[in-house]
Amino acid sequence: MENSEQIENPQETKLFEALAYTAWIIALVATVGSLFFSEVMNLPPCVLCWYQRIAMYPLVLIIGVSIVLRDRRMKYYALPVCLSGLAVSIYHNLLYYGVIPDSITPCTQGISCTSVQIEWLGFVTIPMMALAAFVSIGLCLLFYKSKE
Amino acid sequence: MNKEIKILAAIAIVVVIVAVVGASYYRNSVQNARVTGNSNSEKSSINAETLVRSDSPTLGAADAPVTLVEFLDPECESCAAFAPVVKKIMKDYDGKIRLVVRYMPLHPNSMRAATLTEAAGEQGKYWQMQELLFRKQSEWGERHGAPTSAPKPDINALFDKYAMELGLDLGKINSAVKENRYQAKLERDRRDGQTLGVRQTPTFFVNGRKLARFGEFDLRALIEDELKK
Repeated sequence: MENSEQIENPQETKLFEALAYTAWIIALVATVGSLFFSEVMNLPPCVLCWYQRIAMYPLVLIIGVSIVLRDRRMKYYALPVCLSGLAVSIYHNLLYYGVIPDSITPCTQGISCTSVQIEWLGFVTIPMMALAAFVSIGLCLLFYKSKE
Repeated sequence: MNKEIKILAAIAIVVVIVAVVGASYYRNSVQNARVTGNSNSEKSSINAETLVRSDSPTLGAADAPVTLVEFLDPECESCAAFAPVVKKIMKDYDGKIRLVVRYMPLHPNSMRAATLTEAAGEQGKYWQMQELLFRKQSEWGERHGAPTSAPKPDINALFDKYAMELGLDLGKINSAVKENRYQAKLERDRRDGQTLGVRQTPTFFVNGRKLARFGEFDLRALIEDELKK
């Protein structure tokens, strides 16, 4: 914590560190969780799920490395990755909940992107969990203050 | 090693441990849930008939304590690769195990090949034909990753050749193929498989308990577990 040249007070530094760790943990749990769904529970991932995985998996490494390097510019490279995943996730949820008609779904092979595979407590679905993960990582990164 | 690496590593280890423990817990709960067997406490659409139909090909003693149900596809590469293991298991547990074959046709020529095995069964050569089709699968089956421009094998000629190798009556076989004699049976098997949550081939059920992780070790462990009862 000996960043003496920073004007930021130690409490603020702690807050930003906590945001970084939170974002990293969410990305890690989402990564392990999605692998659990496909590899342990044998639920086939649909095409849109794969696009979201492409954004989610590297976030674990990107955020993790920037935490280790204490690189306060994390936001600049993590947020674009997160937002592209978020865009796919929003589209997926709109399809899934029938806001966009199913006919324009790009999933023609394997599992349909609108098949309900999990519904915990009656409302927690996989696309919803993915959306919640991207939104919360995005918020952590947004409030994370970057420094040159 | 700086402090951050230690924190990240500690959290990652915890998450991975939770996932691994969760995986084994999940697999146990899948395997402990019997899809059929006891007539009480069943899901509405599933009953013993969904798992074993009276016209399903069967090998081994009818009163064996363990019934092994295999959902397979003659054109599935893993089924062919795993077939010797199934054969060995049937030998090792001779008299204690009964094998029931169900179809999960997922490939372009699956229906055609399954029809051939069923038609061979009419002449008492079901298992020989199944083994032959698995062994020669690379000649007739769709190969994953093969270029689409590759020449397609002449399935009809190959299947006729296999039937003759086994000394079967070609006329009878071909009339079964022509009239799609087994279409309804195969479609029903596929529907039963979907009802039972079969998503890949081969999928095994041991006395109604679904094998959660595919592999010889896990399959044998599940069979042993049922024999102990």
